[in-house]
Amino acid sequence: MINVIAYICFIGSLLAFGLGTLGLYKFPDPYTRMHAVGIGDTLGVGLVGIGLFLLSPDWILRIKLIVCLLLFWVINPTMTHLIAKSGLIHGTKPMEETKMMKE
Amino acid sequence: MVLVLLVLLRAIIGPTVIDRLISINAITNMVSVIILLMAFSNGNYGLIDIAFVFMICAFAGGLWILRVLTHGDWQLRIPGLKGFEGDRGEVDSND
Repeated sequence: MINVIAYICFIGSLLAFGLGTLGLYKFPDPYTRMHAVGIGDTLGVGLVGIGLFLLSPDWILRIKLIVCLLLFWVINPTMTHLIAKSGLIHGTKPMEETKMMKE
Repeated sequence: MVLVLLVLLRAIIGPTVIDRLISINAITNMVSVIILLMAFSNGNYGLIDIAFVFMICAFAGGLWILRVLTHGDWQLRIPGLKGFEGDRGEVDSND
């Protein structure tokens, strides 16, 4: 039973990574591509972590997995935000339909 | 594995720098996930620590690339020192 739930989580993570990669090819703009990849990767790593948490034999590995997932969930949105900010500073233009917020 | 190759193709044909950066970020995420799966499929549980270190090193490397790309000054800034508080703009202080 636990194996079935873990394999469902693995298949869901593969689907999430695949959708992120599909969004990397389908969107017209670097910022929208960044959006797709960030969401797909965060969901995929979370589902893989849940599946391995169910499969792991003792508690030390589970604590290591929890620390790893927390680290990843801090790192990945930070990295996406930094890349977007650096792109705006560096002069990469968004699509023409994009509405920028005035300060 | 196939998804890593597809993202690498996006990194090669990407028209801007930002495409290549987000492709490198996605590749490091996928490789760390593959290392975690290898740790549990072989029963070789020391690979979880290797996934840790890989993730942190990828983060530090990405930060360094962004720091080099973003223009700013390379001076050492001491917070209590006079003349260094407000002379940087809003844009440059966010790297």
